[in-house]
Amino acid sequence: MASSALGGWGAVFRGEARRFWRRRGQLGVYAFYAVVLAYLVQLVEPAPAPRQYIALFWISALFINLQLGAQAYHQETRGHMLFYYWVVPPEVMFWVRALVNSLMQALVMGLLAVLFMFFSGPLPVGLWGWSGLIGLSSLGFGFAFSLVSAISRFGRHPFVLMSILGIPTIIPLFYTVIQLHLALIGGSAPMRMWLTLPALWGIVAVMGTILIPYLHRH
Amino acid sequence: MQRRLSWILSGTGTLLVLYSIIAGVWTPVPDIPILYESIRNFFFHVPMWFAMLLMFLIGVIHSMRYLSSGRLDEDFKASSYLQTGVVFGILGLITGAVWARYTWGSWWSNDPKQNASAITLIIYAAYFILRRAIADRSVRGRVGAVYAVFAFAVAVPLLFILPRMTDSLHPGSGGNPAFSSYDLDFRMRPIFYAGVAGWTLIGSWLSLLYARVQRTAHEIVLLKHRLP
Repeated sequence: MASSALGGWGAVFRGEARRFWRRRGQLGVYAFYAVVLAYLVQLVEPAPAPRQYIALFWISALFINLQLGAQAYHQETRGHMLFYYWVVPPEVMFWVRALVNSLMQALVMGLLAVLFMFFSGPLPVGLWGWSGLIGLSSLGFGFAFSLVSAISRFGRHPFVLMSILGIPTIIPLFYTVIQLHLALIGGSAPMRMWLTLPALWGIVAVMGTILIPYLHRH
Repeated sequence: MQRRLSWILSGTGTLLVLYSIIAGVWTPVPDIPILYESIRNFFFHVPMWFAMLLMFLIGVIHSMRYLSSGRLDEDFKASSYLQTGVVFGILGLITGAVWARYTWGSWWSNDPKQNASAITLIIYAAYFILRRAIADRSVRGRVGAVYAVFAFAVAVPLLFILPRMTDSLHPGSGGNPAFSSYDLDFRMRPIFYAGVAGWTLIGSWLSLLYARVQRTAHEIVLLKHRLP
């Protein structure tokens, strides 16, 4: 039983990896977005103050992640559904997609950070703090946007709905990331702020695991 | 049965709300620095938030019941309660802004609690946009219910946890006097509780009424399809 479940996970991971590889051209599009946004920020504000730097970085990251997150379910065809949901339950599929999504978002945000360093000068916060924030926030963004993508794909205009549903629901996570980052400018952030991020991610992950099967009940 | 429940909710609610409005204007209030006479807004503003949260909670319970049973009636009730909750939220924002104008000096001060409540309303406004974007009746109910439960799970930390992480102008934060056991006068409590109960009962009555309107509209559509 356990080995078949693991086999199912493996098959889905392989399938998702293949799906991403087939659409590798799209990853180039997100890298292009990152370059354009970092360059535009530099044009508008060549040497931003730390607070502006942080705000501009995270707003740029939010818009790229929103587009990237939409891919999780929007491009799912009926054939994919019939195959995957026969192999594994929808909640497992959600976890795989959200984890792949988080990984991609971490990569894109890492690229964005490098580009910001190149165009707008050194990061206002140490590299470890920055990496920790990118790691934790990509998990939160990845899961939240995957769930919103699964919900919005049922609407008439899924990409428009993705923004309408995704931006307000991501605000608690986004606000926490910004607050944490601002606290890091002053030296160190209190532990309760660091713990809030994984706690919010936990809420989204649990909600996704519980609710996703209902979306596929028919 | 339904008619009797309707009478009980609307009658009791109206009486309690009338009591809270009249007593809220005339009752003597404690003399608290910063707040002074503006503390009377407590009888109108805070019950709106309590009513909004209760409407959202009941709406989410109906959404969960719809997901488990698939009965359309639960979906009608869920969307009606959430709609009434949004109306109470807007009224809460307006009464809060009027109070802030006289106490803080401006209608909107970007206070964390003000922002959190405005974002909560945007999250629930998105629920109605989502419903309108789905044509199929059963898919609309199912997807809407999933989003409503997710939105509630997001709104709880947004309203109760995140505003506590930063300083706020709101009473009870950053050393400002609060409507707590220290300064909530014993004469104020019954008026406040009457306001909360009254607005909640009126909200429930309006929600059930609107759910009936939705059910009737749905039945009319079904009948039209049956006509030759």
